[in-house]
Amino acid sequence: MATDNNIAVSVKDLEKKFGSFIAVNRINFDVKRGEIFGFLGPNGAGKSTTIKMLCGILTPTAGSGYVDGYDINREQELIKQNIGYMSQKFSLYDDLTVEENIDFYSGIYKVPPKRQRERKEEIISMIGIEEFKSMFTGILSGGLKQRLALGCAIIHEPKIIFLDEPTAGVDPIARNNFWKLIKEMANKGITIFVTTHYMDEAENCDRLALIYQGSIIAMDTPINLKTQCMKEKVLKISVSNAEEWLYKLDKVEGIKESALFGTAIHTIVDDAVKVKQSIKKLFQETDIKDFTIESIQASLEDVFISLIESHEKVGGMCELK
Amino acid sequence: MFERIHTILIKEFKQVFRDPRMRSMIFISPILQVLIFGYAATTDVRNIPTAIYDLDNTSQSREVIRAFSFSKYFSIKKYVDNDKQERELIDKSQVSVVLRFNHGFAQDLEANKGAQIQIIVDGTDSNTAAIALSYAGKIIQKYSYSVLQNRASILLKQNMQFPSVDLKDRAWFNDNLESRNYFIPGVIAMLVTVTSMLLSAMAIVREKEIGTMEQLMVSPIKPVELMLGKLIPFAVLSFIDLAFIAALGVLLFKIPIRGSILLLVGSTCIYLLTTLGLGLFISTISSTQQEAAMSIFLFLPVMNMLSGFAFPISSMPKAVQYFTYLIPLRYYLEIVRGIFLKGVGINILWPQLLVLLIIGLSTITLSSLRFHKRI
Ligand SMILES: Nc1ncnc2c1ncn2[C@@H]1O[C@H](COP(=O)(O)OP(=O)(O)O)[C@@H](O)[C@H]1O
Ligand SMILES: [Mg+2]
Repeated sequence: MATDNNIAVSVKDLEKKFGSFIAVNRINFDVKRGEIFGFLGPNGAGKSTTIKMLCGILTPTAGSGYVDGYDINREQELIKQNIGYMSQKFSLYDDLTVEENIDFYSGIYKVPPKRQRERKEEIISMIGIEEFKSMFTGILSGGLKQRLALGCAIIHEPKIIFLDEPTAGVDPIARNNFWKLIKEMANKGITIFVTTHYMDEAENCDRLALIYQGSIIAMDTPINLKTQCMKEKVLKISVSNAEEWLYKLDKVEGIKESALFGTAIHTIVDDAVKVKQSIKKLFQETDIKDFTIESIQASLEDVFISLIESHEKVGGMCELK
Repeated sequence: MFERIHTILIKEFKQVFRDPRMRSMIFISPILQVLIFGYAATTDVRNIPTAIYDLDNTSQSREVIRAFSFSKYFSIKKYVDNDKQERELIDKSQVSVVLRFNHGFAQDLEANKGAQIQIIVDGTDSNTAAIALSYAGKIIQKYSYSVLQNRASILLKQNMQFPSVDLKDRAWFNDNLESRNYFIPGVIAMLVTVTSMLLSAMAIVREKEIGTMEQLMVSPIKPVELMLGKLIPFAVLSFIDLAFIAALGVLLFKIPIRGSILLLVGSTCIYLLTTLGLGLFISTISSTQQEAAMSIFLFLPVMNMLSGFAFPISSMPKAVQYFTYLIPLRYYLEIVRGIFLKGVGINILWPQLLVLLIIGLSTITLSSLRFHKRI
């Protein structure tokens, strides 16, 4: 397994306990080379802990793992030379300029002096930060800081990069631009391991692992997760005063869970046809004519909510195929 | 190895010089301290504000007063003529000494009865009070001696000299007991301590605080590279402070440097092992800059008190005196003062240097082991 050339990261029964608290609970997964692998889960799920074990700054309490063929339990130094890492906070020096930050990491990663200048230009144009290059990093916007942090993390041209919630606290347009960058890098064959708690951007990943309370509760491509991993159906109900209806609908038989998505209500149901009838009846009784009810594809969030419910009841992973 | 250290050094110096707080710590604080200890906080006793309460008002009493006013130790501010005024002046600290002649001072003197002068001293500052008394004693002694001499001459109808034993206090190495001579080498020792210990700890903890430490940990940097990169700048800055204060002291206050500058530099290097080691240690037990500053300001005053910076160790209680042997600053102070004021060399100072070397090597070793494990 460790020598398989197509596998960038491979983890078996990986566990991390802090005292008696299990932060990461015997997880297993493989990441293929050139893949964008997403680790999706709420705060405290164990994402950062997993990433830190893979990057060699946290020792697992059990299990094994290989990054680029190197053992995470023994060859941390080799791993560090071959990966890029962007931590949850943007790890830049606010009192250095953009160029000085790049130069600093260039020196730390020992980019050959002859190559340094050229590499700096490459990074600056890749992350589109030319006009800011002699400004202090502290005055840059969140989006620019985040791109610069990425630039610094890949200064030594690693084959695998780990990004820990890289888009946290950044506006949607900047997030979009950032994902374009990530995709460009993946197209060049770089493996990307990214954690997030944003459901929408998780769709950008080739493959996703859903992690909850230290356990992986589902793992597949986003499309498969949405179409196969959920037994229930989702109804989208558009009506004025949706907030009020959210509570009233709870009483309708057959509705397992409802949530507001924008101005519409999503409800998770077992029998779509039957519930649709009941809701229609309810609306007609109260003299409401202006509404639509349609069966829609589950979003990742719907999948996640439903999986967490069944995980808490039964445990184990979502069974596919 | 050296490329990485070099990279960190460049970054570190840029950050230090860009940070207004750091800049003032390194450049403003030495100037202030030198000025404060050089001018204001002097413990030299001069121009003691003095009041005169002369109920006798004779040529004899005025002669004594004249002797006091000629001396540089007393400066006569007020004349009073009742007890209430006298009391008030002392209470309000307008004067520290009142010289009082009762009725009959001259009469007693002429009658060979042993005339009395009362000296009332404000004892709140016991140090000044004691010195004032001893100076006053000397002036009066001199006066009575001259009275005696006059009488003898008149009696014997010829000019004559009594043999006399003159007690002269003379402090060696600091001829006029100038306290600034004593303090400015102390300021050097203090600032070297603070710069190297506080600033290095803060610089390391800052990286933890802003999250760059984690980023560095994931890079292939070795702990020893990081450690040297973070400590060397503050060793350099300590030397800048040292040179700065020494220059100010010599130019502004004519503090002598009697010993070897090379020895001063060498012993500072040895002392830095301890202070940088402590800074490193504090960085491993703190996760915020505030925590680091707190722990340093907790034991800095203790170190300061017990080092002999402000109060001579020999005037401390015996038990405390033993305790001062544990304070590295004590040895460094002895060395710095020895070099500046006494001009002594390694042949005298080697025991202090040896102790500092031992403390320094163990501190830096233990701290770096802890640093390696922690990061
Ligand atoms: N050093 C630590 N000591 C104790 N508990 C920790 C430590 N680091 C993380 N945890 C706990 O482990 C859990 C997972 O944390 P983390 O991996 O940071 O979550 P995520 O990155 O998914 O938000 C959290 O409940 C957190 O409180
Ligand atoms: Mg996290």
